[in-house]
Amino acid sequence: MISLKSVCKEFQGQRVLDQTSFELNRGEFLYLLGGTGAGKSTLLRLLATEEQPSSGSISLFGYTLDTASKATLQAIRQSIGYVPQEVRLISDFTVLENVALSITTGGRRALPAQAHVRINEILEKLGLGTKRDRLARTLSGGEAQRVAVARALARNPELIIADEPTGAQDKESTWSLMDLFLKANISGVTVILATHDSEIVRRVRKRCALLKNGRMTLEELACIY
Amino acid sequence: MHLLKLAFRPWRTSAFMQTFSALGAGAAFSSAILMGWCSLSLEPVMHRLSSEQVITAYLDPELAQEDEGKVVDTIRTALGSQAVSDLKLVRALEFIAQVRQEHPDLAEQLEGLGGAELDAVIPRYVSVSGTFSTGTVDTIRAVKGVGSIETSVHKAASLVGSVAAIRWITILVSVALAFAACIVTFQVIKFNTQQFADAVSFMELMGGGGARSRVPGFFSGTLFGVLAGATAAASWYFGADYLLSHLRTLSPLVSELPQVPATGAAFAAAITLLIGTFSGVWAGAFSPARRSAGGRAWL
Repeated sequence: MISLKSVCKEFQGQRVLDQTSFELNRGEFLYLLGGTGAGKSTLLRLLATEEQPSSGSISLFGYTLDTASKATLQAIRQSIGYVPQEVRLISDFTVLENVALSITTGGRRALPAQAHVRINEILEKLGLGTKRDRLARTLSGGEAQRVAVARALARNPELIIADEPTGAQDKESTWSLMDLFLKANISGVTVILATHDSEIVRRVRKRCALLKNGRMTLEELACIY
Repeated sequence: MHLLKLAFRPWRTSAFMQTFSALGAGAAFSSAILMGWCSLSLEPVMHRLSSEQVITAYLDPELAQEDEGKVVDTIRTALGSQAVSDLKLVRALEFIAQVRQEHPDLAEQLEGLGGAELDAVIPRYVSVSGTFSTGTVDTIRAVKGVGSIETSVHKAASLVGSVAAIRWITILVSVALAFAACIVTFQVIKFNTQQFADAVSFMELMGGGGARSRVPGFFSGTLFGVLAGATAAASWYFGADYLLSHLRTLSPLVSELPQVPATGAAFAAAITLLIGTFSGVWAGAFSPARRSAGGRAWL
């Protein structure tokens, strides 16, 4: 489902990712681990099709991104639930509008009734049920992060890419988020989660990949923490 | 609905700037169109001044008095369907009557000559004024009974130059105003699209189509165009005739400018709306997507 072959990424001559290769099958759950500046966010941006690699190739859902048409790239993006590190909510939209936009962006003019139910369920689960009509700019960092997760999950993606989604969460919220990710994974959704939280990795044992200075130095099925 | 809400973001954050920019752009577009219309309207004035002439056909001194009418009729026939504003035979006595208004002493002296001497001093002539084609002088010269001929074709040369200068000024002002209004419109719309560029680029990252992500820019441009277009129409409707009435008093050269057509208001509104909408689509198409510094991006 996901395949990276010798992927390199440079910014202004500085190599951030170096010869990174790995494969991930449908329905797998992968922790992406590594220190600050290791290249986790860059790798996730490449997978979310936001950035192009400087060299190497990436395949998603059987399509090589280098040769994919605009329409294919659009379809791939519609199948991804992306939680960026910097959240990127639309500040003058309400929580509900931010989440709904991720569904209508796929081409629907109006939100189907079942999507409303699903959004409400996710918001309730993430403790945002009472805040659905609040503007995004009035939310705390943790709340905004949870809305970004809700936005990614609400569109029923085939692949979830989450960049430090628990970074600003308390324990309770962290496990609510993890519960949703795991439920999605059980239902067949592939999950790639970048995290610093060793407790999550220790308690929810899944496949791990470690990035160090832009290189994927270790990839094991067992947890490395 | 979400896209429309995004399009309204610049209006929510900087309503005064949007409003005054639209008013300014609308007034500038209206003035540009008015100046353009003036330059078009001055063209027939210039054409008339450059082609209008007075032809003086002196009759042969040997021509019998009873044949004068025949010569006048032949000249009239020779002119055909050309725009003749005046055609008259001027004899010695008519000439003296004309001279008397400004030079009464001269008129008295000429009257004193009397008889055959008067006819020798003052030649009979046919005066023809109007807008004529280039070969008309030769046609009249060929009429039997016509001696020599004079034309005032270059009499209005300096006037034509003045009107041409005024016309060029109106063209320059029109182009400058239109250019300024376009720049203002493009800049405002570009500023607007940058205000929701973050949202649009994220929508594209979530798989939103290119056309869909241009919708906020389109709406934003159209909103601006509607307000600017309404301003253009209103300023044309209420201000154009007033401005032109003052312009007419500046010089007799431009006093012949016709009334401003009321349809100009609709034209000004339509043009301004189109430019607003186009600039919205244009700015939306080139909206700066979120890109990492120095990196190659898909978006």
